[in-house]
Amino acid sequence: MQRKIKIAISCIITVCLTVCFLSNLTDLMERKASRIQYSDFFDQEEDFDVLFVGTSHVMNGVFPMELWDDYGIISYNFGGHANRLPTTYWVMQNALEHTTPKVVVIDCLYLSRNEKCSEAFSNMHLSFDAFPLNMTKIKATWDLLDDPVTKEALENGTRIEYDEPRTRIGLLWDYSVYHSRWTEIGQGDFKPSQSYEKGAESRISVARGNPNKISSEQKMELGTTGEQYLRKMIEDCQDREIEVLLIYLPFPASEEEQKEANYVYDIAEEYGVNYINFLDMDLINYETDLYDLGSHLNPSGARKVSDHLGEYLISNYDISDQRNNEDYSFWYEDYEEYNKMKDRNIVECSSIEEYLMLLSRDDVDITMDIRNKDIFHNAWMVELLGNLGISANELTEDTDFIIIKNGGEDAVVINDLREEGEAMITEVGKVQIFYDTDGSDHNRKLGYYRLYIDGNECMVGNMDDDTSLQIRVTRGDKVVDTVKFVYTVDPETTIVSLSAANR
Amino acid sequence: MLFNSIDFLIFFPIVVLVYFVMPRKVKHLWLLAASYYFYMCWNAKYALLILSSTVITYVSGLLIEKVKDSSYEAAKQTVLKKWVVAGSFIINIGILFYFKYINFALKTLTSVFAKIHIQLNTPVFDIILPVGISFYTFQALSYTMDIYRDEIYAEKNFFRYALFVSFFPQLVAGPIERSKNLLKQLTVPQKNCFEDVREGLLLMLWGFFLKIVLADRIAVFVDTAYGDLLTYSGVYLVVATMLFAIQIYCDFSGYSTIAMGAAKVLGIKLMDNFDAPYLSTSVSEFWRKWHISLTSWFKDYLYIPLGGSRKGNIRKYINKMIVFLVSGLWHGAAFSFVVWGGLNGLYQVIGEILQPIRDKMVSVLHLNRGSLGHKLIHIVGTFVLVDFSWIFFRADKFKEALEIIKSIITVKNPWVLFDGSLYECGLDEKNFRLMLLGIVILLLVDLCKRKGIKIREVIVKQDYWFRWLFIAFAISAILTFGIWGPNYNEANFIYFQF
Repeated sequence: MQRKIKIAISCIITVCLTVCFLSNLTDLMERKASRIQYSDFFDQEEDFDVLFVGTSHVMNGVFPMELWDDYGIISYNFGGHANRLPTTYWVMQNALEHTTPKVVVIDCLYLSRNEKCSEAFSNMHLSFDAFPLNMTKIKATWDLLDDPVTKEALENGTRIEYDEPRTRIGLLWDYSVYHSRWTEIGQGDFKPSQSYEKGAESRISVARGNPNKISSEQKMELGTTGEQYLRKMIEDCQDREIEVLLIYLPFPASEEEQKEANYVYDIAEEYGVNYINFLDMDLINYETDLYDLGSHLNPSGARKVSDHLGEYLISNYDISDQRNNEDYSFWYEDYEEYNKMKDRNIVECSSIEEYLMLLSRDDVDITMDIRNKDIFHNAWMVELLGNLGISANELTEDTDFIIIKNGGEDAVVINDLREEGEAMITEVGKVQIFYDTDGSDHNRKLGYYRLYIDGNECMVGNMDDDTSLQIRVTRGDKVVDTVKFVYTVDPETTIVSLSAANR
Repeated sequence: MLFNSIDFLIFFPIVVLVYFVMPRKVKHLWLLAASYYFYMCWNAKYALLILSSTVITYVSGLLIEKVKDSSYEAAKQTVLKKWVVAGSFIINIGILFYFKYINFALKTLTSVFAKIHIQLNTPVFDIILPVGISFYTFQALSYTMDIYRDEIYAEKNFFRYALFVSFFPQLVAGPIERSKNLLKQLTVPQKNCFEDVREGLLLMLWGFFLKIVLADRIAVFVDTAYGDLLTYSGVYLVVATMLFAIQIYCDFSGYSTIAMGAAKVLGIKLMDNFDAPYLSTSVSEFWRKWHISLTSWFKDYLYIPLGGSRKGNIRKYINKMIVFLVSGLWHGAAFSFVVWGGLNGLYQVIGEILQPIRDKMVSVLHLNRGSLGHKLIHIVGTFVLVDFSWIFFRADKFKEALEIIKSIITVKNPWVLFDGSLYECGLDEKNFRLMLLGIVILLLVDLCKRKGIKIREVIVKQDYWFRWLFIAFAISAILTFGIWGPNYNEANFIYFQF
């Protein structure tokens, strides 16, 4: 008997040690993307008021940190790349294991689809890896991989595996996928970085879209798998007494997608829930607010959508402003980190289009020195400046400076300000130019100047340099960035463009 | 079901746990059910083939016994027994021939007739090769022969005999067990023994290391080089061919070791199939240490019946060539396998013919056959000869093997050994180095084996804390460095096709 006990103890210890080793290895080998994106969610003990679930449209198009700063809303973004509605359903179920929000905001893209998962299985990892193993995750894995539509498509060759083969073990124990990462383990695996975007993801690029609107009477066919799961989501939330807001985010939608969006009105009405179809609204600028031609919003577009959603959520649901709630004071610290990330995005940007897009934020002051007026002949540039609050009509050949404050609310165009000591009284204050602050004629001759607003220096430049566009960005007292974009002329097309950011 | 699949990792513990709690009298029924389930995971219909082979050899065994017990005179008994054995062999080999060789035979026939300008319109059969058919057919046939030779009694219990033919650990890739060893153990099941379980699990761990850490990693390099002969030529192919020798060893001995381990957990000792073959100093020794169960099968049931070495040297050489040509054909229905077998036979025949000259040279030059240097040169020479024959084994076609040999001889690109080019042949630098480390470990373990040191016994003798840590570490290391999981399509064991 004593021998049997010894053997049993020996076996148990060996198994425990093995599990301990493997558990640590699993954490180490894991691709950190999912954990980076969702760690904040699991770290927070307090409930979230709003959860956003859906596709990458939500991930790239709704910024919880902006909602916090502007409205004091505590929210988290669980949008995932190419998540079909069944995937969204299970993401929501897993998230609801950890928090009980007042509102769940559901993105209705892919309502007309019948498959359950994204084409790329790695997207599923992004959505699920961070969730701990529990019954809900197991149920999710079983259901999502029981997908006859995808199976048939893979079998008849109309679809191929985008990346890894679809296996349940791969989702439930990601070490089975990631163990081969031992060759690429680095510092980031021991000390993973952290995202302060609360599940959202800023995508830095600008594309010009061309929306093509169809009649709101045209609707999709009924009875898709996507619809079934959307209904399940609404019903489940209603059972839990969680409010539901359906959304369809703005992008140059195809006919099929517009039919989806139109059909959501019927579902919303049937369940008595609210629905915002952004396709029917004139909220974003399709010239400046898209990340790619396909669909996603860049931070400029996301800021507008977030602002609208924040206003809507505060007005229509029982959501309180938590900015004065001490329990959530740590959100201020996270917000500061989030702002630093936004500043870094500006500093690291080398494309004028992206740079102007990134300046579309309400917490920075911008001063632009425009010696060369060629920029005004570029319609896209004028659109991007318009996105910052500058009207195209104000831009003339005499324009020397543009000064923008308070997120575009105060935007002035300074024309013909060149004389030493000359001052202009504007909406942003008294703007004055000096060529030489130390009395030396040398700088004066070379055209070096300093521009002041209400006595505070806001730009240093050279009046005679018409080869570049200079921009200075400040946030509070801090200079975020000073950059020169150099004009280049294509010798064949003679098109003038700005490139090669020079700091 | 593959040993290196998640399915097996679920299947095996269930089988073991139920086996342990079952009454001894019915343990074999449980194992029989598990074995058929194991096989039917590939193709349920093909279980009928094992069943047919089982029934035929079972009945033949009973018939031979009946003839032995009959009142016929000895000469007639012998004739009748021979008829039964012949019947069993013809039907079993007939099934094997149909499923494995019919298309090859018809194609060969067509091309032979085409050479004399006779056009044959032979059909092409759409046949899926049943996994492990050569293994279980040979195992079942050995049973008939052993009864014929009065080496064992016929098994009366059909289910126990059926388990002997289909015992899942060695069903699809051996070792090809003898009734004297396996059937006896199945008749008298051992008590559940912790030491057996521990030893079995350690064996399985080593088998998994060989398979998923080494064989499947080496396979990436070999498949890349052999798959693109235009890009990878000369030294690339030399390295790939050397590595293939290690790959097939790790792959096959890995399977055999897992099989031995799985059986040991159940209290059954299977025969050792490999004994550090690449440390052999001659090709004939290599074949005594490589796939021991098959080599000894051919020796007992083909070489000796052909007359072995009893009928003079010329006949001995012919017998050896026949055995190795058949062995080649056993491995696959293609001429490249026949050439591979023939080469190995030829090495041995030439070796024996030259033996007096070699002895003379050793004597004249005062060489010491027992010296390390002498042994080393023989080991290297044997490896080179065996490895050369592997080219025919690995190449998809005979012509491709010739192309590879031509490339090895004519293309001079030794710099690829030094400029990092080898890391662009499927394995990056880290994986390549890990592979080399694994090969060094394999070499050390084989050296220990030859010295009579069993590593698992050394481990078991250590303090309990060391054993715990060692096993946990070994499992974690194999899982981390092994090629497995969703990103990897579980590679079949090479020997499954035979």
